Amino acid sequence: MTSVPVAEPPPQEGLGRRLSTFFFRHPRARLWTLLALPLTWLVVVYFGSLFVLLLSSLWDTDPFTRQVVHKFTLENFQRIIDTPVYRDVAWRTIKMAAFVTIADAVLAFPIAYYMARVASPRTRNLLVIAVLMPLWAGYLVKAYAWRTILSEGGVINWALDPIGLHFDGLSTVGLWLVFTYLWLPYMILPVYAGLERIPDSLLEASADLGGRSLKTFTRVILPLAFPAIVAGSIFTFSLTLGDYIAPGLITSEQFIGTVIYNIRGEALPTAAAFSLVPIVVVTAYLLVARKLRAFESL
Amino acid sequence: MAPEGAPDISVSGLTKRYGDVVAVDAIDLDIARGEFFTMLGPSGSGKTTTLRMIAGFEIPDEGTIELAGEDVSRLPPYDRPVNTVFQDYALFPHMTVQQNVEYGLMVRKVKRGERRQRAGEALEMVQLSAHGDRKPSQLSGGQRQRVALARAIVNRPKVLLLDEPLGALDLKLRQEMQIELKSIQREVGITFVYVTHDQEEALTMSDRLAVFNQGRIEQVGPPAHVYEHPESEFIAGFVGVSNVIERDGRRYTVRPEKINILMNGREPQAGAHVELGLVRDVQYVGPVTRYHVTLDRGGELQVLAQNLEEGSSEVLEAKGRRVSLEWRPEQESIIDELEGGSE
Repeated sequence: MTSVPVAEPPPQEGLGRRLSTFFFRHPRARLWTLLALPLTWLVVVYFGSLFVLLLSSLWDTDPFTRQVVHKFTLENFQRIIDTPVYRDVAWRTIKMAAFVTIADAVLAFPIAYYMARVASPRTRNLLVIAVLMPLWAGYLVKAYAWRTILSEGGVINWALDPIGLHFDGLSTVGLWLVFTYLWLPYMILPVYAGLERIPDSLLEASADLGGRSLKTFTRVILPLAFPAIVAGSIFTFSLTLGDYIAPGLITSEQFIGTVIYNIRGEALPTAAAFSLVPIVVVTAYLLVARKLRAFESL
Repeated sequence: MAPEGAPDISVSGLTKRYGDVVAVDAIDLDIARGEFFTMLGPSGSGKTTTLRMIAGFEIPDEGTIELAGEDVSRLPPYDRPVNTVFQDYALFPHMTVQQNVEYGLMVRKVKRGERRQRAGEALEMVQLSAHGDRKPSQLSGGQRQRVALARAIVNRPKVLLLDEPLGALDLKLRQEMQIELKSIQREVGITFVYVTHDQEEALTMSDRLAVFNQGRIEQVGPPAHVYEHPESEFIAGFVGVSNVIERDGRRYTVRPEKINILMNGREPQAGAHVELGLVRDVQYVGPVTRYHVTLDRGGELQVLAQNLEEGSSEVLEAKGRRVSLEWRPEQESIIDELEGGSE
């Protein structure tokens, strides 16, 4: 015989149950409870510090005591625009960021392509680990290691010496190599993810319609991977713009980061104003990228 | 049945292995010019692999594929005069509909003006002239399907390969597209090779069909012939409903709609094969009713009867009744001669 199911008695109204019923009936309250902590962090620490940065860039400095005076002025920005040194340093930094980004994109694409579309799953996993591994090591360790490699008695000049060549590693070119090395994983990973998302059938369709490998590459693969390259370039570009340790270790040339570091004691408002330059440049870069429809297929 | 005219596609001894698995096992196939040919079979039967070998996405381990007399077995896809409509459509998401359709002409360096015109004609054929500027993501599933078709046809291939092109559409749209595909095929006169696991699709659209099972072709022929005279138990079950019984050392099948169910003591016709049985179950399906009848002499048959006058309550009352079934002997298809039988 089958038994007729009997309705269960209503459960006891404990605190936990009342709470979960409350949250069930008020999804908005549930959302805010969930977001309270991260939102506080974001607003207070993240936007707060940006706001303080902006604020202090508008303050003045007492010319005699070098004390910060809480008086609003646009003089700091005027000084950055008018002083050739600041302009040169900003331009040099942007050029460096651009060249690092190009080098990383050129190096990363074939590696990412191999990982995403050629390698067996096992090789692919090994390569992902290999790409991530440098990120586990400390930044300073890697920067100092490169200083040793590039220096007069380093391995590069040791290898070049017998054939009568010499490479001035502790230079802008050396710094370019170091940055390219440091940020390469940040380019490989998004490009790899982007290439992996392209369905095989699109490449088959291109071949089916008569497209040889080169056509398929330029007309299908590259346009579809472009947003991923832009995503990676945002990392390589902005990380280079903001870095102050590697330039100090490798060259005596000044970059935005090193200038801010050097003048922060005596001219904090000017340093704050100068530090807004990378933010403005990256924002402009993102706008251009959006104009190029780089984010459309994300 | 031999195809009429010269074969457009001639496949012989075609074999493809993946490790120890033989996906396609030495199949031979001739497809005539202008024919609508369907490769029907369950998943893993080798039909899609065969299609992909004709397209050039897979290279056969053994055997040859000839297109219009030319051996293309080892040519890359871009050197074969065939085009494919993919199951997932494979439209380029970063291009507009117009650019998608023009792609094949563009890579073959057809001039801009001619390209526009031909793509326009192709889009008109699939009734999407007004959608040329849209991106594939702005189209419905049925529209994407049409774009995929236009993109392939615009190149005027010798053969069009279609890999379950209607699989992702809902039933109503699928039935509309079946009719449309068929009329487009008549219009352009291109040989269509169509892969599906849907027997209704295969029966309604094809000039001929091949039933695939476990990497081999079990039967080739016009749909009505394959349906009414299945040569194996697999085909009897896969194309239609398996209705196999064993009598006098022979195994044979009768299609459910060919069987007449006699209730209330009606007399069978002279010369008919008659079986007595008990109605085990009745399913009312709207236009028809499906009876499952357990036979006194062993076995079970499905019977499909049109609901000409009966309502659902009347037909459902038949459950548990004793009935006699009759069919004409020529409706039987012998599958096996068991021991004692001769060739």
